[in-house]
Amino acid sequence: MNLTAQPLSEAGVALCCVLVLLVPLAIAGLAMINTGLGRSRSAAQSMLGSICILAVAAIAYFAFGFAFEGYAGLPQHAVMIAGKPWGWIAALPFFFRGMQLDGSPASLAALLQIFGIALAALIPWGAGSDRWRLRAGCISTAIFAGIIYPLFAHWAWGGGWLAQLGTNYGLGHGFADAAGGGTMQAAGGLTALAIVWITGPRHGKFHRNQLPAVFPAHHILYVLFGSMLTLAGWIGLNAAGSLLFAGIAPGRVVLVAVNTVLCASGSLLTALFVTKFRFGKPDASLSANGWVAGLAASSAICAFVPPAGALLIGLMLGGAIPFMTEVLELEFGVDDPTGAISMHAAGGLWGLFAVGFMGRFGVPVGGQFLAQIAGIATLLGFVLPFAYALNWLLNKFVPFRAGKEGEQIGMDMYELGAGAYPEFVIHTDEFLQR
Amino acid sequence: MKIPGFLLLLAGWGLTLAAIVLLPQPAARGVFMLMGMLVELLGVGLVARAQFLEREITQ
Repeated sequence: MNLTAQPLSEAGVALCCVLVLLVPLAIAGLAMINTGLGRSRSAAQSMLGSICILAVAAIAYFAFGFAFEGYAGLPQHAVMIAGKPWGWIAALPFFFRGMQLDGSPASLAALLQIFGIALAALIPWGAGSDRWRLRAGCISTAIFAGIIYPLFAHWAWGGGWLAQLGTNYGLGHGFADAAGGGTMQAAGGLTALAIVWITGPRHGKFHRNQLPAVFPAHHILYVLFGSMLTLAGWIGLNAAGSLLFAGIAPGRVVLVAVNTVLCASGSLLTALFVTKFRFGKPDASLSANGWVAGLAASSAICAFVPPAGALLIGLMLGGAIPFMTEVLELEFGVDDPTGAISMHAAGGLWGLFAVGFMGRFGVPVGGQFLAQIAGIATLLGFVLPFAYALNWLLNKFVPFRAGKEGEQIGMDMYELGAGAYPEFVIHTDEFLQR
Repeated sequence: MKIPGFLLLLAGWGLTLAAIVLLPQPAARGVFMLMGMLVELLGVGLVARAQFLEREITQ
């Protein structure tokens, strides 16, 4: 199996374009999930923030993100370590200069990632909802789309050192990430963890010697409909990503779509079963978390495992998601309103790990497994501290967190001056008795 | 505790990279890479714990 994209026929280019143009549905779905899982008093700010994040991510990636990320076979800077080249950053001009937007694999990859980065940048936005200010969220997105994401994506997809682990050190085919389980989902999820650490929990969430307060999802239909929308977008993302970054033949798009659905389905059903077993009734928001986690894992595995493997990977993940969400909140005091960290970080990392022992590459499993470990170690050991350091620094100049007043009146009134549901009394502290 | 946690994260990554470059034998390389991952998990745990304690103090 060759993980480098082959030149596409005209039909292949058309297919890839159609698939890429499905990806905004995943963005819309994730925005709905984030908004639905947040509080009603912050709904408009959450949705406006999602559109702003898409805009900022697209511009930052166009301006300098792609220049740092590059594509396999394009120029890059490399350092020589023990006689082997370690490509660490691309050497392309800013603002897409010199790139022909003509359906070449590089141009299609750039288009796909304009949407893919927006999807990844929505992950931290969801984790920081109900307290993260819009301006800070936009600047943080520019950093994510312009520096953090392109650097790791270059290593994994742009011919960088992770991609070359197979050629240089005999580790299977090098780090394999079909459609962004690591570059988008895990990187976004780990950045979300950094954001949650920096912003801290919402007021009233944790009290000394008491269980954490529950802020229920304000609109579970948004969450569930958003989950359905994400499927269409994710099939496009996984199929186009596999064509462009895993070098699959166009006909294998069928396998990718089947694996995406099976992984998400397995994950949803086990999350549903686990919550029914634990709480007596199925929990809709945790089940939706299971669904999205399955989609996140499918991004890593979709081109490399058989359908039964994808289903098994989803089944195992979905069972763990409710427990993971609980442990993060109860044991580590992480206030993640949308469950973004367990959905995207854990889902993406699990997918990458599973590729190591279930992927069919036609090479000994041990080497590929170690290549996957190298990628996971890079996400935990480089992306997480790097994202934390950059956002910690940004927080010193542009405070991330709204004041206590902002959380009380809601981010809608605090930042936008108008609520999402002006016709309705939606929380009791707004209701004045006459 | 937070800074040592982040240093552990970096150290674990360094251990993994060093194993790739310095250890050609698959078994030794694998063991050291997995150890690097364990060090990273320790680092994540330490940072998370530090955040938790910091929050308890400010409450």
